Amino acid sequence: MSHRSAQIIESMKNWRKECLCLLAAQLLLYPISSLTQSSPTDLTNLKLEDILAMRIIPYAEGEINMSPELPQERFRFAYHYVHSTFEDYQSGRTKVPTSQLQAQFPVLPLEISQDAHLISLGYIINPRLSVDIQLSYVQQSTYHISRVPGFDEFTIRSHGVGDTAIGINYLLWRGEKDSLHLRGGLILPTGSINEKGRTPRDPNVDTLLPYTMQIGSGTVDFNPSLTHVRRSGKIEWVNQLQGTIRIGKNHHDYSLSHRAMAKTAFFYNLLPYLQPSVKLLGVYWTRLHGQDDDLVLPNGVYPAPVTNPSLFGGRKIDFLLGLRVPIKDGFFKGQQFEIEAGVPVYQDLNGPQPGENWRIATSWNFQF
Amino acid sequence: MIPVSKDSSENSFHLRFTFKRIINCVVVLLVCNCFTWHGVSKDLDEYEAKALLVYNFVKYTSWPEGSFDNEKSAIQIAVVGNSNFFDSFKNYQGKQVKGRALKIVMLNMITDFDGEHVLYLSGKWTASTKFFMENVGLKEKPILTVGESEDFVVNGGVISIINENDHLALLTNPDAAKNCQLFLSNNLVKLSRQVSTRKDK
Repeated sequence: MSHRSAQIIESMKNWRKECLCLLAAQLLLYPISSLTQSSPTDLTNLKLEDILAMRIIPYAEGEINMSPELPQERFRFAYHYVHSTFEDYQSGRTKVPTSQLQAQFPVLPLEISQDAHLISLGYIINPRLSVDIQLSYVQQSTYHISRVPGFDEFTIRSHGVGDTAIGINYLLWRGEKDSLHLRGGLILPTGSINEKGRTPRDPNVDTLLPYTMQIGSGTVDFNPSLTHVRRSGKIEWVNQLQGTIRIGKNHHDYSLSHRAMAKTAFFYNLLPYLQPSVKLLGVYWTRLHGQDDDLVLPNGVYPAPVTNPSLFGGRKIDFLLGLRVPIKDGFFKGQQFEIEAGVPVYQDLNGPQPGENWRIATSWNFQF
Repeated sequence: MIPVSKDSSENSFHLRFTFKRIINCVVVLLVCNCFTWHGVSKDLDEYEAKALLVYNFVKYTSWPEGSFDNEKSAIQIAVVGNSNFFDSFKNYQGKQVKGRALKIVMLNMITDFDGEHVLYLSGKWTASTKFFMENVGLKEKPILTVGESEDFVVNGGVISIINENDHLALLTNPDAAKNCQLFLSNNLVKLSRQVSTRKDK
């Protein structure tokens, strides 16, 4: 047996010992932790003064009252801000070098930056049923390089009121610790799909911008979701399935990607005012359907990757870390702030397509 | 110069290696147990703690004669409002207190109230005490009313459980208890802050 093999076997033996030690220690620790998580009926021998001396974990925000009579605060206001950037091109899971893309396309968007401001207002019709409307304002900018003289480097921007989402939420079922919520939503095409800017296509007049720079979808979209929430002790676990289904095509003869999303999120009630979270978000989205012929050169060439409907879609998994701060008293009582940031840990894109680099989102909400 | 033998350097290497392994184990265990260890401190979920308190209130309260149909009739606790509180309280369903079983019911509407012995108004319902006192006639019936705000006892409720710096505190209204012919034990009264009913101008 070689010296190297002997070393490997010795190392494996050490690890086996380590694992056994870990298992033994964990078994010793388990009864301690399980004792501290006694069931409520085991606590009935506690004296009143003992109960009053205990620190309590305040009930999580957003509780749903099951009584058919209405709560006093029936409106819910929320503001969300999301910033994301897309930079490195990928085809499948492989990164594509800029030099290769420059040879393939006359114009190359290098950095796409998107900012979305979302304002939503909800109204509780009864404890099981609520409706909401969400308005958005979108700002986008894309930095390009190109082979067209006079347009070596340029940035185009677009901004405006985005699409409007309306939804109806229904509490399907509520158990001891779990609840199941169904949402039926429609996204109305209030955002522009006629955004124009100065591009190498025509240096003298503004021409139509590519799909990624349009503010809206131009189609009525169906946006259902199913959410499961489990609250147990200090943990809140949220699982969500969501879809965006484009109905028909817009007046530019295309529709954006259909989209399916699955999310799982853990919130941990670390302190009454601090709930860190970990989220995993899986997204699958299709290529564009149809094509806006104004984005194609007369010879049928796509001037940039973002003008080719086939170079959209893919699947990815994002990992996000967040912090939720529910305010229990003082001037901001009843309000809740949240911040989260994340990166894709897996991206498989129909490319070459710019992949998402990172994203940060903040939100603020309250009921009144 | 002290000569260093090959053995001692090997021993030192093994010691360092073992020490590294121990540190690795400790780190892994800390990470694995950080969630459960947090529970070592005496923490209770808000609604579990409140349910436990109400269970104790039943032990520390005496109802007047004639409040029960017979010696074995159940002590009935009605919960209005938050279903999460009801879920926490379900653990006490059927439990024996003073030789009587506890019967917990969730009321969908206050008008469903049917002479239970304890009425818990949770969450936002607490704010409507005055309405309940006047319209449901709780003022003089032998019903232990429990709420979740200071206003609740000021408006004629018997006991309030409030949250103060992540600890629960009790407020009692002895006059309201007396009007309802309920006797609260000294222990319960001593552990609470006593509040009087606000007199309307």
